[in-house]
Amino acid sequence: MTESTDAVTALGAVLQRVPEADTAVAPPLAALLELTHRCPLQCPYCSNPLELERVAQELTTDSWLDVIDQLSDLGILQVHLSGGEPTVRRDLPDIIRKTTERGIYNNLITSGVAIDRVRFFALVDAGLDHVQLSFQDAEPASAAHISHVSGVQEKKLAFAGWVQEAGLPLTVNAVMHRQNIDHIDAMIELAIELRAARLEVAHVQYYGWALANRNALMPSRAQLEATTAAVSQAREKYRGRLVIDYVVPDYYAQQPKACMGGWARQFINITPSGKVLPCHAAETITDLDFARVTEQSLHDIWYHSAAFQRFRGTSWMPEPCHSCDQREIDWGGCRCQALAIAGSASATDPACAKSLRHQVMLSIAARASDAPLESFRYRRF
Amino acid sequence: MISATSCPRLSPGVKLQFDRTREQWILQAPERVFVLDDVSHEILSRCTGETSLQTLIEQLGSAFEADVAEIAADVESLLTSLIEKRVVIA
Repeated sequence: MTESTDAVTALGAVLQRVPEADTAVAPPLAALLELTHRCPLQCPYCSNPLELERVAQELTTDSWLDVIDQLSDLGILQVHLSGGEPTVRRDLPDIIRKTTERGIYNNLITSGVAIDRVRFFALVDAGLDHVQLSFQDAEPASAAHISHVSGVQEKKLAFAGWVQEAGLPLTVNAVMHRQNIDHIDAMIELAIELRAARLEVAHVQYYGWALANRNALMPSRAQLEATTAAVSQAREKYRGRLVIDYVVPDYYAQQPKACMGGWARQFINITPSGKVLPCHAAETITDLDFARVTEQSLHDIWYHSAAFQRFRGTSWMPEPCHSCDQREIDWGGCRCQALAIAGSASATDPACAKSLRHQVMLSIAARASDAPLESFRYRRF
Repeated sequence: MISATSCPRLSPGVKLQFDRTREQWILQAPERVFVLDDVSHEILSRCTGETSLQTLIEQLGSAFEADVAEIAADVESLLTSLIEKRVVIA
């Protein structure tokens, strides 16, 4: 009995007992299903690629149901239903029902603006487990400016009310950047008002759309430090009431984040047309071939595809990574960031203080946050 | 702190489940999975909202023929940590 508190471990610990990925590949834990790239919002930091997939390319209902069967057979425990805006898919109840039948925990990642009360409760009846609702800002006018949709806040607040009414757990997702970061306290209070159990304070990470809008989005170091302090105060103040997840943006980090828990170690990402990726931004690495679910089984893709093997484990690492004592903690960080800043997807992540490009990254951040505020290049087709 | 008469239960959206692929008990929670060992599974499977903390400790004491004071300390520390993470409600 003495070790009972240590016995409960979070997500990442599941795989710590597994040998290094070069010798044995563990089954994946979670999948992000981008059901569509359609979205009524036009946030300038959207995580979808610049090249958006069209509705005609989207997988059919039957394909998604088959994907969920395959994910379950592979050992997936959780699916995140995302997009674009997943609620624009009329077959969402069928998809949710399938995850429930297969004992997979489902999480709806939504803007909350594309669904009415009746359709939301159909999702609840189908077995919805959890909702992650995004907010562009705590101030309605600013939220409308960032999402490029007027009246956006009112719809989100109504949606949050339905989540409460259904008795479902709610996570508030707050994406922070130069133009809303000074409202961090109001964001935290909004999560409390909405009785969210979790708040994700997610700084914009600069790939795709966000990279195209870097000067309009990059916070200063002072802004970042104020936010970090606000989060740590709120964690203390709301201990036991609100759990806050917080990730420092790469540009100001000293150590790289364990992006996706390591390349092809825990996560599978599937795009609207069925392309299978190790992370949602992986297509920025253009010399990798990603198979589609309509061409190859998920089992084959996970265990045998060249793209998934490419940065799996530690044997691909350059120095100083390969002999670094953090190599099985950060798994070499983010390959997309290495490509974007250091010019090669195999390079040391420039977020790491040991990277020769680290100072370059810091000076880009300083220049971007000092630059005159540019207008957004909104995400659209 | 949890009182002896409160009846701990899993929070809404948290599920106790057996993971057949990895042959282990887990708690499924929003965007998190907790892996349970035998002891934490024994504790959490009794967190149904119908068994008081005191009864739960007594049950574990007789099931494992263990010292109740020691069990009480372990159970309370596990549940306190999970309450803080909003996975258990007391």
